[in-house]
Amino acid sequence: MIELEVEGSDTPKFREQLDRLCRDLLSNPVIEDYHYDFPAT
Amino acid sequence: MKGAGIKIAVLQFPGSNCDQDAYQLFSAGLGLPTRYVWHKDTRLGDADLVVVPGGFSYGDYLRCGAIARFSPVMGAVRDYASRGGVVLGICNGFQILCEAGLLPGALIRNSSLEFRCLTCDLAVSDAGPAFNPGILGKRVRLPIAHGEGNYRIDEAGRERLETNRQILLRYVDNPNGSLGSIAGVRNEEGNVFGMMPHPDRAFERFHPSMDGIKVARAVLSLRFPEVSKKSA
Repeated sequence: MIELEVEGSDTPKFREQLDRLCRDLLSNPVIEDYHYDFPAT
Repeated sequence: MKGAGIKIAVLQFPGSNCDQDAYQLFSAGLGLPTRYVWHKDTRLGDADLVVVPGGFSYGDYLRCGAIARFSPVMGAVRDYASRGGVVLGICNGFQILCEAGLLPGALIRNSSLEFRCLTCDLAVSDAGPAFNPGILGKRVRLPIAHGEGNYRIDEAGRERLETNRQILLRYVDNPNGSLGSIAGVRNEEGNVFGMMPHPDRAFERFHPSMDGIKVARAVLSLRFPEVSKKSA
């Protein structure tokens, strides 16, 4: 398992970037899953 | 095969270590003009076959092939394949092509959790006009050397592989836990090939077999049918 903390605001554009990062690099969707959370501030 | 006019390009990534094996297979083994293409190149030049060789590209960090798929040359490989160019990925090259989405499925850690280095008997599947038992015989014998050769794909994907005859080779005695004993596949269009076994280590008399010549000829025969008629 890989766990990362990144800085950013919960916006559609940021989520799109996160999805791309997770889907295209950090995980291989054929064999792996990913998810991300925005902690309550 | 000298003078056949077939040109081979072998990619080199940081950490490739079978690039010279692949080069020798096609240059010494088959007598074809062969050259290297560095991973930072964005053009492949004139090539009838692009070989993505084995090794440990980028140290196999993250996942095998996960970093190499972002190398500049891979954009050219993608374009080349989309125009029908023939691509062969061997071992780490197979992993790279899967990570790049040019081949279906993924390779994970061997079920034994051990690096497996041995010579395997492989059953040849009927995978179309270039790659079938009629051309290759029912079995070939090739070396493997990998820690992550355990082929995985979801059930729908596996059904597609079977229906479209995309499976090239199956292990007779599965050494790594691969689903369906799959050792190599092709893409649906039939111009991108990938396999964990090493034809590039099976073409000299001192190698455990010389079946690598047959496999290389089978791949080349996709565009040059006369190649498969020559004896090994």
